Amino acid sequence: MPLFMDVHEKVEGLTAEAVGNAHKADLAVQGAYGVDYKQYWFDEGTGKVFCLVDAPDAETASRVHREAHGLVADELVQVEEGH
Amino acid sequence: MGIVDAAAGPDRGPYCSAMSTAAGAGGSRSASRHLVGRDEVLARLEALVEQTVAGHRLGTVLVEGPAGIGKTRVVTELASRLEARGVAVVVGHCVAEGELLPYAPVAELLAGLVRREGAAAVQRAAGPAAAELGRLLPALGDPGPVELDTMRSPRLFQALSSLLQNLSFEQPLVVVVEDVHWADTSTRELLALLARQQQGDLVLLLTLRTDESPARAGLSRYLAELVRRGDHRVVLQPLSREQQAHQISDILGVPPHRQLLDDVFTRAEGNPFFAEEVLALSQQGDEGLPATVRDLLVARLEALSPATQQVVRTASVVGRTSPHRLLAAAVDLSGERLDDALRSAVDAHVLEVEGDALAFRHALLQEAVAATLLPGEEARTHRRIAEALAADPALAGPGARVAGRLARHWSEAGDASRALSASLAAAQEAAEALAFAESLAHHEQALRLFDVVPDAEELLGMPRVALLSSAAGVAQLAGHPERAVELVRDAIALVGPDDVEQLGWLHERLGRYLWLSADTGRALEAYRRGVELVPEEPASRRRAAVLSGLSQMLMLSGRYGESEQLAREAITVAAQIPDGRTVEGHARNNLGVDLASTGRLEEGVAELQAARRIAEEQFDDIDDISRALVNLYSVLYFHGRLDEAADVALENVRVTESLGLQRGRGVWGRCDAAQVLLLLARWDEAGQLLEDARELGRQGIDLYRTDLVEGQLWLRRGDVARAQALLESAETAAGRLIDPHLLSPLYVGLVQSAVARGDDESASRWSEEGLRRLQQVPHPAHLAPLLAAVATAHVRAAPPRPDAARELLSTARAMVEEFAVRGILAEAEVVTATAELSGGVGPWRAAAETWEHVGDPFRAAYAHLRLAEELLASTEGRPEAAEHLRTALTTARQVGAQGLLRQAEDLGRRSRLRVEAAPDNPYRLTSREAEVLRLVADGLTDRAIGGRLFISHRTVERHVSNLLSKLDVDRRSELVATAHREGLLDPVMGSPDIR
Repeated sequence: MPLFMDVHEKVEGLTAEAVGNAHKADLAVQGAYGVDYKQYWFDEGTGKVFCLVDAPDAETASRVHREAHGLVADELVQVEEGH
Repeated sequence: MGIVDAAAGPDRGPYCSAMSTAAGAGGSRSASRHLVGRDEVLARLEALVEQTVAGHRLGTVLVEGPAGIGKTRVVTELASRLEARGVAVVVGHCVAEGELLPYAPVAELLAGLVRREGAAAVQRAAGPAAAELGRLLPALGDPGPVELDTMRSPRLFQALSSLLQNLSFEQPLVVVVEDVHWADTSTRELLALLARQQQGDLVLLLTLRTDESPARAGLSRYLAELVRRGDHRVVLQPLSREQQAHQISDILGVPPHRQLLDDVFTRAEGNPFFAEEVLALSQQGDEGLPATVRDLLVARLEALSPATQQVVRTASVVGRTSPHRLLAAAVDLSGERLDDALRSAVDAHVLEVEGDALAFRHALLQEAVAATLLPGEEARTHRRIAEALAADPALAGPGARVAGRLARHWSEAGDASRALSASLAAAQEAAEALAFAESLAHHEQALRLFDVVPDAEELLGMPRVALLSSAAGVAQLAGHPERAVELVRDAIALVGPDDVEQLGWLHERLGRYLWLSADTGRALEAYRRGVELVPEEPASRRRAAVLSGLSQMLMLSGRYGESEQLAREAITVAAQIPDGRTVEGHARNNLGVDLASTGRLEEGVAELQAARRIAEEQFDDIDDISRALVNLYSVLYFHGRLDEAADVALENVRVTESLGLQRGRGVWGRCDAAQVLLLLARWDEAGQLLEDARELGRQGIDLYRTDLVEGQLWLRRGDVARAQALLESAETAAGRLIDPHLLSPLYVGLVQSAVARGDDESASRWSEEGLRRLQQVPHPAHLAPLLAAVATAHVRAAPPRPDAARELLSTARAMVEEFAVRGILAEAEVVTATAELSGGVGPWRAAAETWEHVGDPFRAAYAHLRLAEELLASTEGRPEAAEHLRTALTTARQVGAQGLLRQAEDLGRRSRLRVEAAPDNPYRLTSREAEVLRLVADGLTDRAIGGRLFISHRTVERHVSNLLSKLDVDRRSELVATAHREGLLDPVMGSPDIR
């Protein structure tokens, strides 16, 4: 499955706890779509968030976000894992 | 019910579903767990509390902002932070229907303190008057019945004041009063008293809704008065978009997506409560969000089941908080169906459980619900609540007063008969709680209904006359003497001519209310009629009261002989009846002034002291304590015993403070004190007292007096234009006055200010007007100073009119010489005016000595200046002239008399006398203080010094304590050492020294 990295430029009201809850919501929803949100990084000051996700395609990856909490990424890029 | 409860562990009650405590995502919370966006405000509030507590005097902090901005939330968070630091916090809420439920927030505060400390500890801390608190919280004691013609509310204040002070010394205390915009008048007045004078490690924290509409009359002025210099207003601003995002993030558990945040922020505009409501609505599954907040709140309610809606509507008619049992009795539901309805209201975050009651989560919700009721539905709901409460008053909650609620519900239900009975009961209930303003409101309502209800008299078991006279008594106690006059006049009109007993009594009341309305002339007529009506036999309290009342009015009009006779008659009657002591005190108060004003000063002073003792011992008409002090001040003042007069006046200021009488008496006492300090050249103190007086009251006779004394102050300071404006404003207010002791200083001041401006025409006009108004009661203390001022105006006129002056002065001199007591203040005025007329070294020397003796440095300095001028006429007089000029310069500079200083400097230049003011007086000692210092250095005791200077040892004590602080030393021995070291005991050329 392709690997994607998404970028949320500015999530308003971001806290470590809230973004953690959002990630948990992704995990609860993703099974039905064969998506796996693997890891995320964030910066509380700017509200910037990066998620690393295994998904059949970009559309399905976004759909999980939309359904789980509505926070859809601003940018989604297919990436290769480097070694 | 406040933060105390929350600290003790919240009682969630039976309606709390598991949902509302669940954490995590899913929007199960209505409000954020963390308080968002208020860190700065909280830090500021914490610092304010800390700083205020350190001052040991109550400070006021006002937290304000529109509805829903988060005032309560901020205060709750502050409370928990403060509690963690060992500060106690108690809370009381004002309610929208406050005018009908007097003292509700204060009762809640007391309940909070009792929960916290126990009833016994609260009673102990409240001191001797603790039982008064039982009026508000029956658990605290039985204060006994209230007599409407007395004035006991200060006892309630005293009890509360001691309670707060004593508790706060054990642990700092923050008293929170929420929603002060709804405070009932009685609570407002109590808060004002606390804010003004409460000592202790205390903070009064008020919350205020700024968009309350329409704002209660006078609220902003009240708040401006309440929150004064050194207090603080903290305005809560709306949250920024970023802060609101954090709020939503905290409520939802996840950050909001952009569209949701846009939706919420556009509607809530940073208001945290509105944001919560928008979110709650969106979670009830409503897709299209309404545009206005009201629609939004209504939409929230429409989503509830019909049964829940009925319960919530009924609750909105009861108030912000409804006791569960009352609600159960007033709705159609029962058992499980009621429980279900309530549970869903709680789950929807419309209602919250508070002990045994249900409260709207926010006042705005209650208002929104109440607005949805149709008129018929509203009246029906009121009727059901009224019926339930009437059948079982205990439904209102343990110890709650129900009469006020019943009056409101019956009246809103449109049941005039029941509303009438309930209004009367509520009027009595409020009066028993000393809530006179609310009692008056209920009385007025009862009077309106009395005309509508057939057989009203039988229904109440009370004729309209009795209702009117009860209303008048309450109106006076509520501070509306003019309304009391109207009510008692209505009552008089209803009484038949044969019922002389009743008519006599009503005229006695009328006289009292008229006097309190500053209408001495009509009050005199009313009392005179009362004396005619009330039979001489048998001796009765009423007979004594009308006699003493008439005596008082005659005394105030300057008719001392007639007054004395009636006062003695009143005392004789009072001695024959068992409850005559209070009237006796009242009569002795009049008698004291009568005696002192007719040459028997010492006897008069003794009577006034007796009057004060009686008033203190009876503690019945406590106004008489202050009246005795005012009168004592007044007789000492015009006898020229200024130091003693100052002591008495300042004591009166303290006494009125401690009795909570400052609204009625505080301005007068301060003006008395300022008036005498003015003469003693303590101008800064006088200025401060006048400033305080202005903050206390700006009406009627008080305003007149403040303008008058301040005008006198500016006249001496040399700002003639300012003085003139104040005096003319006082003159406008003096239209109905006949009291010579009030009119005399006014016209003296006006004439002097015209003379100072060289305005002959005004001087003549004021002279004529003043003489016309004062000549009806020619008493030397009042008329002679005016004659002296007018004579001086003739002398200074261009061209001068010496003959007219001479004639006036010979009348004035005869008056003061015939008066049995010599050395009265008026005499010094006559001596000075005589010097103005004749000129010459001898007369001006006499004037200077007279003023030195009286202890008025400013007038003495002026006389020294004129004496120097006279001495300069001859060469051999020059050395002595230099001395007197130096005295004038020194005093003018010391006291800050700009006009006098200019004249003295001018004379120095013209005469080429090289005179400097006496070596600087860096400690700014007054001449009297310098004298006392010398005697202290001689080793005399305070008592011995008092004997030497003819002042009381307490006055000496005060001078010594001023000296200690001016020289910045702690002990008497250090005082003498420092005085020697600083050369303060060296003889000073030309300084007044009358040893």
